[in-house]
Amino acid sequence: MRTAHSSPKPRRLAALVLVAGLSLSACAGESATPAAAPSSGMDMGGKKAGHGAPPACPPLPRLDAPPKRIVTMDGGAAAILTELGLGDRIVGTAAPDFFAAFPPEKKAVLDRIPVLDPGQGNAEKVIDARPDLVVGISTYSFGGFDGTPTVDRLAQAGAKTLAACKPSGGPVKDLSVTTKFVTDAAKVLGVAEQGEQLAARIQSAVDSAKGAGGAPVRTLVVSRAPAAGQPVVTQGGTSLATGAITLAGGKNIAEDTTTDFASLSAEELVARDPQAIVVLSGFAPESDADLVAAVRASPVLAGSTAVRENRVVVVPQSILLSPSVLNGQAVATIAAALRKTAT
Amino acid sequence: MSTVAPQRSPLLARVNIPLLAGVLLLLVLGSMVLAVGLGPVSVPPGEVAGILARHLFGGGGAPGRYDFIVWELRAPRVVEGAFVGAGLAVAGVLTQAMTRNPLGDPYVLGLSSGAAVGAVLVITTIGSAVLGLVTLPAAAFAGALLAATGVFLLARAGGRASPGRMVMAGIALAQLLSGVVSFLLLRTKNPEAQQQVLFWLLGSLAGAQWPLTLACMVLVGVLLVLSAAGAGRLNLLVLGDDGAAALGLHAARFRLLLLVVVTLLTGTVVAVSGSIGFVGLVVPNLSRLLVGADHRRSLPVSALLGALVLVWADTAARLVLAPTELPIGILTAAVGVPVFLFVLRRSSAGVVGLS
Repeated sequence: MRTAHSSPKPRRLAALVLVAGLSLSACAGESATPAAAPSSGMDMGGKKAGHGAPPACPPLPRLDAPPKRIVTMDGGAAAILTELGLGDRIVGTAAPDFFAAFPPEKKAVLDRIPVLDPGQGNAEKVIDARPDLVVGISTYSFGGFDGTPTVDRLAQAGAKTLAACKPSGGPVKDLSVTTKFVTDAAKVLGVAEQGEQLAARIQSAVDSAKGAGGAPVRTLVVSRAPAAGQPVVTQGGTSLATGAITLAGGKNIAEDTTTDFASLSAEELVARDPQAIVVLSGFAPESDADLVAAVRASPVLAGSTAVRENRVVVVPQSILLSPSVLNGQAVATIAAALRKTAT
Repeated sequence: MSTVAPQRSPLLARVNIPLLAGVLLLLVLGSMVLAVGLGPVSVPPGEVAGILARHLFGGGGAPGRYDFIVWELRAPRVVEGAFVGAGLAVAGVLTQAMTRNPLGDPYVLGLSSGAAVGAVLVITTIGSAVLGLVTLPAAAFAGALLAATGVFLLARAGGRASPGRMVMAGIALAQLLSGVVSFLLLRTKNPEAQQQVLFWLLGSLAGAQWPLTLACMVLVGVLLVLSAAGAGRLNLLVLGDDGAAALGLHAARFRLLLLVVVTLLTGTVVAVSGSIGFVGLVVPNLSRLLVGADHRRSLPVSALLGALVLVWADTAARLVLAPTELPIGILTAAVGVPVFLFVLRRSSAGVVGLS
């Protein structure tokens, strides 16, 4: 199970898309490299060479003693550890924007965690916090060209690494990545029982939100309104979003692509005619309302069944694309939208 | 009656070059020390000095809290930046002399694109770990070498490669190779590979580590010395093939030798830093504006200015939005362009001739 990659962070994804002009995957993929050893830019062990290489999924760390100083590379990981009762051991986090999706009382608790870096998790800032464990919801939290620490750099600095990883292979059908990460993390951190309980809570939330059956609803995921004449960037089959949509009673219309991000031509999109559209918030600067309005007005989507029947729903990317305590909420939001009758 | 604008000499035309080079070298070294002391994490200057002294000159004591940040994260990055900057600038000087075109740089000849294709091809097919540490540098160099061979062969007419045809062939090949990179990027479904490819497109010093930094130092250092040794002959080359021949230089042969050196330089620096633009194009022109077109003067000044620009560009990249890092390409332009434009305005009506 612990092979490929897990979900990325919005800024990095935005960079990937913008810079390459392509829909680049930064989430789960097909690289199935069990990393017996750390890898990074200039790994000296012959595992990797070259800057900016994100590590393959690092093995579960073996800790001689429970970690006392944990750094999380994103708010999603911080929230999971907090739910496990380990919040007091977190000495700092990066990417606190993941907290935004939480209800006020939980967000208030999470907001107390010191923010080392509002961005990706600068290597100096992370190492300066003197962590003995660094946790991320994605292998892409480690070793980016944008200055995040590589796994071997952290090891050199005396910190172990724990990252959520997804299995390689076909389309994601569920959210077992999340529950597995939660239970794995809990075992590593010596709170296995709390891990089982949290995983059960997440699973329960997912189960209660599941779709009612029937023909799956053709669903498109977008993070911004498609630009005229350009391919539409959406979530592919290996994205965690596909698992959530499947559980909600839908079928990702780009499920047949074996990448996290897929690019559909306007013609293909029209031919596949989505019956529902999930709009990811957290990538584009617009408000949710403006984003939805832009998506609905997009020439390529304006005539779709989803727009005509008013099945357009906004879901924060932080709870849909990566392991999160709130994955169940994402499923519930989508399921409610899919069940909506035409208005 | 026509009037002719008085020709002003380069700003530092009368300055003794060894003296100027010495001052610039001190400036580069000072900048490097300062740059090692600057970063998202504030480290007391005394602590930085102590860490550098301990590692450079030996000494007792256990590594302190900031030892890893200063010596393992910042120092190799700053050193690598200096040598990459010097290497790119000198590659630009040599390319401009080789093509007799002040707009020449390794990108124009397709060498950077060739290096990128070599690296990206390895990343997206067999993986970047096959030969261990040297895999990507070797692939990048092989790509640059193939591109150089392609340019040389395409530019040949009547048994020799003319400068104009080299530029045309280089630009065409660079476009083709850029397309190949995009195609490889689209084809791969491996997100890890895609992330690595992104590095080649953007350029970054963020992953610098000592072993490759030292390898880069040695290779670039040797090539800089070789280039400096041939600076006098560069002056002959820019006179044109006939002029060079009249003064005893076999231009075609020397151009081929230069192509090899530029390829080695480009392959080496691109291998460790990705594609960093601007330096190879602008720094040589800046040097000529400052000290004149004589390559014995402009080449060492270019190397040192290139080092200076990249050290500060990378430092700015780390600091401007700290702790978030900016792509270095933005900063090379931000640091270099104002200086270049200032010197251009102060110089003799923008004359940037090669001879």
